[in-house]
Amino acid sequence: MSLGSGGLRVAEYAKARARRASLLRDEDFLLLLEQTSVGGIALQLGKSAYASVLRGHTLESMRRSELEFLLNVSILAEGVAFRHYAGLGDKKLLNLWLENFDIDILKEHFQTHVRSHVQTHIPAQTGSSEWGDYLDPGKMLNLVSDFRLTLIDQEKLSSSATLRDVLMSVKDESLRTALMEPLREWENSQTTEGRVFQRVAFSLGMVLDRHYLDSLYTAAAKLGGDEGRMMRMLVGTRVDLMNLYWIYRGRRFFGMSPEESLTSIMKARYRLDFGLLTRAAFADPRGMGAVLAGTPYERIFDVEGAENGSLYEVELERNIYKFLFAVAERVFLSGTPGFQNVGAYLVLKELEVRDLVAVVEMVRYKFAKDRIGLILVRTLRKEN
Amino acid sequence: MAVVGMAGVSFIGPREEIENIALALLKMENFEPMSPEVIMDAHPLSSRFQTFRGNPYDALLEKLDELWLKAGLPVFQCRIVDRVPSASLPELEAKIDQVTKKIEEWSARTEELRREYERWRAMLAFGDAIRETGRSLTDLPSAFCESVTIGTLTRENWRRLREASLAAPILAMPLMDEGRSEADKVTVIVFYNSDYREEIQKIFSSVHMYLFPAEGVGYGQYDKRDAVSYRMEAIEAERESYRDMPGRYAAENRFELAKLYETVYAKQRIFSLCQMGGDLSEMTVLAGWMPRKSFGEVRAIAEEKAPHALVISEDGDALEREGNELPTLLHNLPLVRRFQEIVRLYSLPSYSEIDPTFVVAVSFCLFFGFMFGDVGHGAALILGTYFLEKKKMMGPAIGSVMRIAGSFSVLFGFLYGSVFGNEELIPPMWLSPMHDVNEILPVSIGIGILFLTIGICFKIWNTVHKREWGEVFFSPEGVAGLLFYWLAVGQAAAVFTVPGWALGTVFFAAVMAFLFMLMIFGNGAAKLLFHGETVDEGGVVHVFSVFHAMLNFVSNTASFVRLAAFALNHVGLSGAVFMLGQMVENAPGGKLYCALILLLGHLIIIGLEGMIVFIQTLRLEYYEFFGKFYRGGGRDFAPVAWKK
Repeated sequence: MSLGSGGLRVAEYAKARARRASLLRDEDFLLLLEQTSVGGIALQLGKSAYASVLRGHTLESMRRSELEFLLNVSILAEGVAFRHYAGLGDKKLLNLWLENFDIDILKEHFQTHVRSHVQTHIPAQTGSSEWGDYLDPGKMLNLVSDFRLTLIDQEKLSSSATLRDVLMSVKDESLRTALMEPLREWENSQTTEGRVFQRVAFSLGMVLDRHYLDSLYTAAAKLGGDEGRMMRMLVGTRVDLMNLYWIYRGRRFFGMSPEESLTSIMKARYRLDFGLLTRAAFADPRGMGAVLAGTPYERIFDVEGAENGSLYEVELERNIYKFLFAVAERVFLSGTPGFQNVGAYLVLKELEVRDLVAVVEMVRYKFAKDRIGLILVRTLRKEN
Repeated sequence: MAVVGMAGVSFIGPREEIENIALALLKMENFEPMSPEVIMDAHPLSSRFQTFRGNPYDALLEKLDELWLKAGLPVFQCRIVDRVPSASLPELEAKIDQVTKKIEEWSARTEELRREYERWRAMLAFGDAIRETGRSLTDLPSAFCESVTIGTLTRENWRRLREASLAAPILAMPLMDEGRSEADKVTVIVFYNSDYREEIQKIFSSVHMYLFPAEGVGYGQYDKRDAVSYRMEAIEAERESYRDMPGRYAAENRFELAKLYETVYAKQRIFSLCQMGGDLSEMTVLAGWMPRKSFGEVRAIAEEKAPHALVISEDGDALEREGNELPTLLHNLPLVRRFQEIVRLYSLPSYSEIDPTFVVAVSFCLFFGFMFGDVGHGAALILGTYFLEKKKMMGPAIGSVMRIAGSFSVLFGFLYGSVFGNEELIPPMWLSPMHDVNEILPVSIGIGILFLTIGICFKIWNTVHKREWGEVFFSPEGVAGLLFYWLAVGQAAAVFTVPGWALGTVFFAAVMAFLFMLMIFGNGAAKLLFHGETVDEGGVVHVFSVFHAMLNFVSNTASFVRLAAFALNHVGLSGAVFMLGQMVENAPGGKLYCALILLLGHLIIIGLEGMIVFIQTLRLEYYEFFGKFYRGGGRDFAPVAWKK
């Protein structure tokens, strides 16, 4: 490592640590939960580290979707800010990391185009975000001036008239080919049936998610030393958890057979090998925890609301994110300068935004606040 | 040699006539449209102003581009049309649909044949595999045929299927696997139990496997290898003919297609310009900026092509004073124009600012030549620049600047009598930096004084243009500051050159003290004399900023000593290289080492010292010169053009 890149690494590490100190505290969350409107939450966040993305907006009357969009943009802004500190290799990794925003934009375009083919209203299933109306690259570029789409050709995307045009805006040829396959299925079917729509949207979303995590894990696997180990842990844990969750989701909600559910997972593997994933796929979806005994993930399926159907998935997702939170914290505390700190910080930020979105929805739809513990990734110390 | 004066121009009239004007503007390439929001800013009629969404001709043009691509035709260069084509959008859509429908049919058939060909190829491979076991395809029982599927899928999906096959009661094997990338196709054969048929279909669907038609009747028809090969050849021949269809069609109808392309292209360009305006009560409005001198020509065209349209022009300077942000268009002599990049690298001048490019061009060459004056090194720099440009390692803009800088290096080399740092080869035409240090130092300071004076004059010009009279007369970079600077320079010069001149001569001291007080109390004086002009900084800050400006006069002037210092440095460094060469010359093989040292040393001087001098030159431009007057922040004039 050259002296220059060593300096950049330290600066990157210092920035990640400094930014971590700006994350919200439990007291801030409790204050947000006391608010009675989305505007109230926006006003409170306007006094925090989110002030920079909220500046220039009318906070008092802010809509839920707009606030959620801006909160998500804040993750991107934080990520982009690390570019100035990143050397060439780290910049590539960072760009790869931030490709999930390209993917969100693509997914939103898929939804819009597919929806326009469907006569009846179909609830969004895959990759749909409630803040989709705002997911316009132009708007993002206005808010985060240094942001550039790396996966998509923005000009082609903006002039896209059909779903095929959207896919043609993807720069990576192998990804484009993979995306074309579900599209061909859609085009051949020539139907506006909701079922077909769901299948296409689901497949396109899965191809993108698989591509994103596979590429990120492959890049992380190439790193050496502590940095490589930590990055593999950070990304690999997510890979494992997503593989498990996709098998669960496929089996439980999409009526997939165990074998079929195994075709939906990534090629990247961290701690769960194919044998273990196969056993998980063949187990009862809600009994997958038993298969995972002895692995770090054995408690993921320990869900209190197991008897209550609607809460089971909420708690399961929370457990997954809690696990990711713990891993990110662990990576952070390792104290070795390297890109893993940026990654860990971005994970923590992403999970904080997830919690904030949960709080916003809780306040907006007047959910019982005593159940907040079931949803939030962070454990509020004063919640009781 | 200045920022070109602009005019704000608006065209209001019937749609057809505005389209005629739009065509003329596209030809002239000197009109930058304004966005409709700016046009109708807070106007009472803005609610009735309708803007155009999307350009319907974009999609048509894309379809034609696709046709061109499929037909293998070279990119079509549309000539500028004389008048707006009369064809309507539905007419053009119908024509293009007719063409694209044909192309789509051929494409579909080509794809169908490709799959057909792949199927036969797969069966050939399957037959070969069976024959290798000593059996034939006719031996296969029909029950077997019902439990076999052959199809293609991407390599990535093949990996997924293969993994799933480990957990499912199926046997999946590759028949043909030729590519390398994840997107390449693999042809596979899958065996399964007939009870598992429903389940396997789901797996095939989730890995997006294209299934060849089922062979319920058995595989006997593929048993004869020659017959299969013959069939494949026939399919390939048919496929080939379909693949050539778009090209043949395009060749047969090239005139009609070229005309169609030209029409759609013209419509697309005209619409895209009109799109920047909007409709107001059945009238189309188009507004934007153009160079003031071009307005007459546009008015004449409008009178001829759009007799019912209203053409309004407003003076750019007046609009700028009203708070509009005008684009900047620089106009300079061809050689000077290359130095616009140096100015642009710092920032483009804003519309109301003076364009410093000419001074930058002259001073850049002068400074570079002064610091790097050497016939040999200058020539090597020119050659090196040519080489880097040829290898595409240097852009043409910087390349031409470097070439000019190299030429001045050669010129100063003759003035200094220096060739590769050797001052003995040719006699100096002016002076030798190493031998005439006492002469070269005052010259460099003198250049600095002149340069800073120009900077302050530019600042005065800028502030006069903006009518900021307080700044003009009382600021340290105004008239008061300039007089103070020149008096200080005169004082310093007199001390060194006039015997017995006392530093504190009463007259000079009194005038300088007066000017200094004028700068300190400039804000108050400006308010008193020019009414209403306010300065937002506080009194204490202002006093400190005046002191800072005074110190800057000293430091900025002293900074030009570097001109002489680098000229000396150049000779010194070259001398050191020669000395090193001489040290090894008498050793065994010394001549070779000496040559290597000289070559390497001079390369380092050209590369490293050349770069440092380049940076020092930029520093003198950007810090010492621009710091006196330049704000920048201008926006490039971006006119619409016929070519997309």
